[in-house]
Amino acid sequence: MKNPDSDSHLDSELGAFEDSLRQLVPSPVPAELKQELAEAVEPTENTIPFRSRVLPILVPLAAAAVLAVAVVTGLLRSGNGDGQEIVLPAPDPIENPSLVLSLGVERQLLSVEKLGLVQLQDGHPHNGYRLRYRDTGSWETEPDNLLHISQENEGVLYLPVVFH
Amino acid sequence: MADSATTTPSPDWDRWFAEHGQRLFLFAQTQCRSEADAQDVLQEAVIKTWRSEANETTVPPLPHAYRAIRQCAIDLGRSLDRRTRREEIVSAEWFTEQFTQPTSGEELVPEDVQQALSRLKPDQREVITLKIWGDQTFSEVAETLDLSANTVASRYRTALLELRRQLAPQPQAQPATSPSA
Repeated sequence: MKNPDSDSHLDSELGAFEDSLRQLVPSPVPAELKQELAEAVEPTENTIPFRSRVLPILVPLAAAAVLAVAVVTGLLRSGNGDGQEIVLPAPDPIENPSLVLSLGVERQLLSVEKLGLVQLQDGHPHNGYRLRYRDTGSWETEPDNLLHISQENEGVLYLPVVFH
Repeated sequence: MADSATTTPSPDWDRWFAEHGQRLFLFAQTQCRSEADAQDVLQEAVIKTWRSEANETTVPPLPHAYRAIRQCAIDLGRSLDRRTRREEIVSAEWFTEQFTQPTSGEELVPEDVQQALSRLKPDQREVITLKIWGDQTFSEVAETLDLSANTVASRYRTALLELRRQLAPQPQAQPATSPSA
């Protein structure tokens, strides 16, 4: 059987044409894309792949986060010390089905598993987590594909929550 | 926020992408309908391939990266088709330059080659791209495309002939001669 990797099946003229094609150099990868790839393939870095597409989403989220930080910080301060009772406003599933909650640099609200129980996690200052209210009366985190959750963020506190 | 984080990709990544980035990008361009799509496909496929196959001692085999690009492009094409969005084949440049001394005496203009490539049948275009600029043997092309090596070789020759036909100099039009009275 003919070796398919042998180019001997090409006559000299076609072989010469093939050589000419080989002289063409593919265009370089755009620098911005190269940089994004370099960041994305580095698994230990807390970076956001597809950043350019995510930014339009993050900007309004960041604005909401600032508001939520103010609200939640105030709520935390109003807690009962060691009792650490957190009072969260009940979201309106129609008007405002999602909130961005961030508890500042020392704590991040990761998830609320059941009504009355909030799970806090030591957080990264750059991280924020979008929470969505479910009709079942519980909170759930959005898929974390927007923001990378660092493995360093272990350590969980369970705090009672009272919804208004 | 994340912009402030500086990254130091591994030397393996630097070497691997420096060596193969351009040919992977070219293959993505030939598989997509627009420059933006090609960039998205390249990004998704390379990240997926690298994360799943690279480790401290190995880098992903190039055919796997080509295969991932092809699959991502197919998936993207299907989603675009569902939205009935149609675009012309990429308008951006696929090639940058030609070496100053062509070995064959046939001087090819990059833009002409790109046009001719874009007019090839897709299955011919991908074989040509992988074999000529993709640094792939027929066996590796066959692995990427799930074909036999002989089928690839045959398709390659047919595509090469078609490409040469398209790039052949057009014969000069004969001046019209007025009929003698």
